Amino acid sequence: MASNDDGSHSIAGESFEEFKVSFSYGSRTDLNFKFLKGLSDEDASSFFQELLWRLGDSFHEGAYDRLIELVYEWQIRSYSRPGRWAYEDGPFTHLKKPLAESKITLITSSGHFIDGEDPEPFGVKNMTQADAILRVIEFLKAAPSISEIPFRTPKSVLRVRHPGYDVRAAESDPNCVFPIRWLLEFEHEGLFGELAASAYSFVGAAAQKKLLNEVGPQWVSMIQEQAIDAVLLVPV
Amino acid sequence: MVIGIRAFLPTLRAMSLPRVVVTPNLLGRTLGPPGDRMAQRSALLAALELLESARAGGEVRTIEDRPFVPVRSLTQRETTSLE
Repeated sequence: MASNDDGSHSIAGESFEEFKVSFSYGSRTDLNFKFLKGLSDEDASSFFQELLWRLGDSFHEGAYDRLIELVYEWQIRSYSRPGRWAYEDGPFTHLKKPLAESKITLITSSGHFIDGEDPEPFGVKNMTQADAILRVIEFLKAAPSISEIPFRTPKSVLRVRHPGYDVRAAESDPNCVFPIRWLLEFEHEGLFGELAASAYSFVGAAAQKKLLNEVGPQWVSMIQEQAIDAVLLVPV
Repeated sequence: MVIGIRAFLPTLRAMSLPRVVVTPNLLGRTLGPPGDRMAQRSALLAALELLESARAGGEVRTIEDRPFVPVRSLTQRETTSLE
């Protein structure tokens, strides 16, 4: 390790800053750890030190939950910013009828679709998750397209692809971010009136103004045409 | 009705969304870890309850219980002096 003029350290010409940022769409892309980019060098250094401490403790005790908690805590530290979409107040509407009589649907930004109904971003057939990550900038400049997914769709034909997060959990258990199974159970248990025929999913890594001004109003019309009373929104 | 993770809470608050349920989960596991039926259903139940009970905009319910149990015991950090 060499010391730079500014006191920082580098390995083979790479600074710690560059190392840290490389986890976010760089040479070490890992969507579980892209939050490192949002940390100061000092905080990122603390994270790695704590990670190694806890890893050692986990080896000793054979329990790894503390690692999940560490990442959870540092995701909060990195991502917890108000962002640019701030409003003084927002719309509020009471349910027009009791929940027990209401028609419900689900919209998630998880990036799920049905096998054979791939939205084919940018006209690309069979885009892989790795390809999507490489094209994240293009996703962020394009309007999202929405996939209609009947609630009774079996897990075996669900696919997921999203350039913004590690989709392995959403792939192995879609209910992590696209909880159609539980909503079907709740409908059967009578917790609300009924489900709409379909839930919906889109890739949230998209042009936000196009979402707000172009496709969003179309989606609202689509929901209203089905006389749906309430929508559960799951941002991922 | 929005269900989001704790890391997004400041963003969700700033947007003045009418109803928000916040879950203690990692990015990409909004409702809960894979296979955690109880955590996933609990988040949904909280959302359905808030959907009906909210009387004004800006209501945020936070689910505090972690879907994983942090281990708090003797750590290397506490037993080793490096400086």
